[in-house]
Amino acid sequence: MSTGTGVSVLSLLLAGTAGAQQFDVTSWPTTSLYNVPGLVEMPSAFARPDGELSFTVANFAGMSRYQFSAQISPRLFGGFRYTEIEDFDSAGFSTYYDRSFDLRFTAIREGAFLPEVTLGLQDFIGTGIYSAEYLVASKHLGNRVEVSAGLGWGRLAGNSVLSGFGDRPDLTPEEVDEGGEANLDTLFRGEIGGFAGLQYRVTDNVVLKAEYSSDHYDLESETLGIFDRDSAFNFGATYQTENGTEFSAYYLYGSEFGVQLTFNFNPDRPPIGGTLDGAPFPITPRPARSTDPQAYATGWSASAEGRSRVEAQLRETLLLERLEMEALRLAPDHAVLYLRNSGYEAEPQALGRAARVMAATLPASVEVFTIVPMSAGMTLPGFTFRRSDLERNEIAPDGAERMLAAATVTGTPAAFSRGEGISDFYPRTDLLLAPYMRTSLFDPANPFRADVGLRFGAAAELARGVVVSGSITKKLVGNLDENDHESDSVLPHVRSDFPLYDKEGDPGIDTLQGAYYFRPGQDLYGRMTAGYLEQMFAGVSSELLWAPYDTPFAFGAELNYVRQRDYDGGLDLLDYDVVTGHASVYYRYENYLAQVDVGRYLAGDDGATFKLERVYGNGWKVGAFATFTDVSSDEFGEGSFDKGITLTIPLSWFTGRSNVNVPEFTMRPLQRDGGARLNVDGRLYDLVDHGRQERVEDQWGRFWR
Amino acid sequence: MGTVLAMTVMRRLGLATLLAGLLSACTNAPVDTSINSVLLSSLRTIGSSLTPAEPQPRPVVSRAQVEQADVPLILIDVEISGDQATAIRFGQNRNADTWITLNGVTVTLKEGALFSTRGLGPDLLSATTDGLEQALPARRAARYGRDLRYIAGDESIRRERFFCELVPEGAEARVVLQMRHSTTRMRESCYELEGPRNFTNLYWVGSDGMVWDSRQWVGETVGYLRIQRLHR
Repeated sequence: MSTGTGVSVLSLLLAGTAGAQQFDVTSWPTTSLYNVPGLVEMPSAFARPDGELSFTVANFAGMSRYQFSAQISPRLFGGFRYTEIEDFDSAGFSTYYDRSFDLRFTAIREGAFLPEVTLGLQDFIGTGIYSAEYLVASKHLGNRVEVSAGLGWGRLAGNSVLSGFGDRPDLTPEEVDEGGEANLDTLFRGEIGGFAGLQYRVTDNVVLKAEYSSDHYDLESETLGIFDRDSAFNFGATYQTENGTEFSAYYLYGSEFGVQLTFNFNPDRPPIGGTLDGAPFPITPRPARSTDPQAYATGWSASAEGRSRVEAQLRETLLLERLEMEALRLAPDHAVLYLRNSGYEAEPQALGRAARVMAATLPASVEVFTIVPMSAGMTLPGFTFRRSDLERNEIAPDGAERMLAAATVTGTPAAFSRGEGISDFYPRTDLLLAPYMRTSLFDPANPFRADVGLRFGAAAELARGVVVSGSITKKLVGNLDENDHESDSVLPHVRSDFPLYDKEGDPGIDTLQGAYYFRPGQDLYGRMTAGYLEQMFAGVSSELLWAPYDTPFAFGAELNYVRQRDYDGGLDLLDYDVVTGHASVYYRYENYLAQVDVGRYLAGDDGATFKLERVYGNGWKVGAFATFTDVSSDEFGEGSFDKGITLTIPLSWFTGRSNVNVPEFTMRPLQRDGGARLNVDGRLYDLVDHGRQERVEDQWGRFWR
Repeated sequence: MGTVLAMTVMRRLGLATLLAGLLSACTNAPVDTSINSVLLSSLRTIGSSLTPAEPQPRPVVSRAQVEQADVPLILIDVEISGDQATAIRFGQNRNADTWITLNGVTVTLKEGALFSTRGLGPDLLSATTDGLEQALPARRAARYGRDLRYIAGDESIRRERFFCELVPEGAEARVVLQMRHSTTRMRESCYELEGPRNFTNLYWVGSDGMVWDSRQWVGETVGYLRIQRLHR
């Protein structure tokens, strides 16, 4: 028998995925130096396919741009850009670092006669050195030619073909300072320029581009002498690979060469199609009751021995599927399984596999299966299936859809009693030595600082919902301690003293806490956490979440009393303490999750955080957030307000094999003291969201997988 | 070149083992859910995919072994990868037989017609076999629609609808692992109703309706499976 199938099928699939999807990446709009659909420097109007993400690294004339963007919806596009400009000499830096955000809205989609029309805001928050607005129209002429023409404001108004409304101050090196304010008062103000471009697809993979640029680079070319702008014409060539990578080379402004590398990808286009998980247990139906009434005898349930035999068999078979039985309520005709899912990011896959195992092991008289997923000791909404439906629908072409329709969901299942719980399930201990990485990005003095080291963690689940845990970090290599910047913040230094923590806190206690999770009532979830909650704060954190199974919205409330920790990573506390807390609204609409938190932040400032995430069916989330509090932008300092980008990436997406690791990353252009929230572990929404209707139905196709 | 590669691989596997020792989770929980387990299993997968598998003799099983085992058995060939494995019957649900290979891939067949696959990666979630499962054992011509379902990249259930025509192509003596069967060759041609896809399945059906040999479509990435019945 062959045992090599798994591996060689894997390599085959890795090679073959580009062809697996109906996407033809090479017919998509190419990417400009600004990481938006476009020509060389000028944008085009075309939108990327919905949900597409891209990373671009580009360089010309000593200016490097590192950029990330997302096609948030079919018409809305957002981007973040980090720029490094050598020899800038503004505000005392010889190399200038700039952060900027873009937004684009595609107002008109291309038709037989209509062009695609897009309105764009470039660098609309921030220092504004790239600040520009544009209205651009693009049209395909045949299969190979694309033309674009547009009007530009701000930076794109260099050739001022029209005079517009209002004034827009010229950008001078002196003005490049604070940043962070939305540049709303200058949007679409001042002179108006005109730009145009033409591109020709020579082969399926090669595109040639020519454009007339309306960006005069006054600041860089005339004031600072970074490069000479001798011409308005730019030329370039782009090579697109089948899986969405673009290599581009340009000749710009009659004097400079530029290069660009862009990775286009989409969470909906995983590197491995489907899942490489081994096959689940098949369902073998019970004999008909009429032909074999004996099989349906319930004598087994009369004796403790019979019941524990059934229980042990179910428990052991579930383990083969990386599923754990936390408790079992067993009646002759009904079994309620309290299930800890240790194997599958997709809840429906765990439900389906558990149901299959129940059908394979439980006596024939058990007709009704209820599966209650457990999360941190809390019951999530439970699913009740009829065994005869499972037997019938396993081999029905629309079996997954039928099982969803036939399932009964209980939002708040009854907790299991002491006797029903597996006796040796608790306490369970866990010691873990794992690598960690801590970064400090975008600091003007050194934009990339990081520590890599080992985290030693220990956790004990003493009883259902009771977790005591702690972790210590020890850095191996890194340069976080090379930051000599002293915080000049006028607010309490709740975050801006991070260089002190990095310097003095190695090795340090990261967390040392006790947590209790519980369900206080119908549709309610609760958490109490106390101890050393994060690197910089210790105290008490409490949270309550109202999240019914089938509502798109949920409400939460959190109240914390914390005191700042000493820099050395020990158990000592500093003098600063604060009561901080938020009321939160979560709202899922189609592929989006919106969250608003209103309350008091760590520095004692009051305000609200707005977060919007694009949710992909497989658990990826890409989002952005911004916090506005009663701290003025002057008090806040550089950046003006707290903002950032979040990425949530299920690791199974890369490996093709199910697991429960779904790390979340938050990137802030700057970490200051205003609008800072406590980083407590185990916030409730993330613990229960995967058991609610929207997420369950996103991945219901995996029920029979 | 090959040796150098192999040595690099060995070194990497050594590193992986070292890491495994260093980064192991020590737990009394029966399932290791830590990120280390994911990292290490990925390293192993990468390591073993770099190591060229030993060429296996084909077929992977002999007629004598089959007769000795004396259990229902099929032989599955993944054409695109060249993988071959035998599979034993794992489950039976009405007319659907589920067969499993040693490494945990299953195919479910209804009267010999492919209903689903699991464990190949881009699996066939399910396929309708109405029309086919009646006409195939009877070896008669038929026309019917077929829906093939997959889990798409966005995790939704993607349904591809085909119109199919099944045609008997005449008697053929078919040799399956040194055993000769008198069969009728059946050709099933399917065309997507709203799309460009099409596929052609072949079945060699014995007079008692047993499908002794077949070449059946799974989907875009996996392509065709060849499924031979080695033992009743």
